[in-house]
Amino acid sequence: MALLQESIDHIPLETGFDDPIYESQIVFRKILKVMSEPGTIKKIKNKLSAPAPMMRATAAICLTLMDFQTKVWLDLPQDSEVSKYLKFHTGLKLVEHSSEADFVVFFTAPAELPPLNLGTDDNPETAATVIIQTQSLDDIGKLKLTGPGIKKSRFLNAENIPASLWDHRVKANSLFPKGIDIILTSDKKLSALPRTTKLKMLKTIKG
Amino acid sequence: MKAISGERKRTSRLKEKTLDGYNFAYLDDQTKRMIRRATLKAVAIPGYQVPFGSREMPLPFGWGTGGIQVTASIIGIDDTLKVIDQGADDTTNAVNIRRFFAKTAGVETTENTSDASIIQTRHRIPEVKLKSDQIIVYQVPIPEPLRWIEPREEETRKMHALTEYGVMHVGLYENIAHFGKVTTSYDYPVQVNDHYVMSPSPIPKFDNPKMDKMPALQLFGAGREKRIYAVPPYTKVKSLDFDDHPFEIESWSECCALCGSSSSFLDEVITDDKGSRMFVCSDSNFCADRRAKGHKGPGLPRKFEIKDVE
Repeated sequence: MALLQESIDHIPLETGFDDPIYESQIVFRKILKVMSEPGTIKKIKNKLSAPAPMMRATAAICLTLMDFQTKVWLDLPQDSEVSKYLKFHTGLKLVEHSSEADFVVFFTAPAELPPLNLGTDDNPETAATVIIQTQSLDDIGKLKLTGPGIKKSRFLNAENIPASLWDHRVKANSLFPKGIDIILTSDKKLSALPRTTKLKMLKTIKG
Repeated sequence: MKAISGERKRTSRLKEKTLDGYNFAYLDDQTKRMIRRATLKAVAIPGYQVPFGSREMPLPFGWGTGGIQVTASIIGIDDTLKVIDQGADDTTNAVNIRRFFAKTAGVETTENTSDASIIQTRHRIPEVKLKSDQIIVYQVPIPEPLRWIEPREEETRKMHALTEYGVMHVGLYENIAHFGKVTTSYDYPVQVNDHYVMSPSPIPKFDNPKMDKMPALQLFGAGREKRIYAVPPYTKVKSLDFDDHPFEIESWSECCALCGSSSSFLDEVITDDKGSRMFVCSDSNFCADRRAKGHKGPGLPRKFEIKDVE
């Protein structure tokens, strides 16, 4: 009875996908698109609800990619509503240290990255995928992107991401093939910066 | 209200079109998630072979199980699938894989390259230039280009990590020293984004230049060897060569006997036991398209007259 009570306590009110098989396929194709063409912005149209501070695109990505095989680190306490929501809907393993995680989710962009798994030279695919929520995402931005998946260059603006974070990313990715792959989300939008994408900060009048 | 009716429409369409008792696109969702995660990492590290938990499929390894698993993990109800085997839409392997997905995923299938959103291929890239938003899935038998030279996986992993590919050039050099030219004609190794050397799968080297800066996403699946790798759109793909022996593709003195094309990859067809032969496009859709537009080739070869020797 106690067990039942506990599990009822843990059932979140927020819903996941209505139709997990078809919706996760649609979301996956959007993630695949933004990962293969860095800087492209896609919008999810799913009707899921997510507990604050999780944005809908973040929730959709987590529900699509995470399960009992993935170790996940959140920048929120382990007993937060978001943790409960993700545990209930995906069965993921939450880990204590960011360096152990396959997926690291930042609900607020950090000034610098905590210790992360960058993979190894022999097995670079074991590196962490980092999901970062931002205030807004658009393509008229301050960042000039070049690299695989980009014809000439693409532009991206992710609001509220400290410049120091980009410096950290450069350091991590200078060890290629080791490195981190970033997925940016903002409300329903998503975009990605895999480790091969080169970033250049464009100077603006405001600085 | 609109969304709900859309949902119903989709569900009924699925029920009508897919086999009862099977998962959508055959694979279970847990497997798909695992393959999807591997695919994303493959895309993030162009040319690197990501290990994945390859599953038993309802056809033997070597018949495209890797490609099928990749396709099954990315395909959705709104996709249009084209499958080719050596360029042709009407060969056993192609027909069966196309039917497999029509039955298990209820997708539309096509033979027209430009109408397809996903193209699964065995050993060819279509002649028509692929577009952005299309995905080409290659069936790969042996994904490791270094395997012929270095049998130990541990070693090949290190060689890839350190871009240590001198031995590949030695192989090419020996070829040139023996024959005066590189004789590798298919599965010709390429270097992706100036780092990983990758097997392009057994496509003829004629198709190698098409991979360079292709606007479509290229995914590679090796089922028996349990590897997935990828080349994102607009990514540099260079065939290995030397400055004084630049990479060259095949050429033919003949043109296609059916459509007259002199720019496509031609298959040689023996027409009798007296040495008569004709050359035809390997890409059946490309050839049919040209014929529909009124192009004509020289047709069947004239019979050789064998003179009796006295």
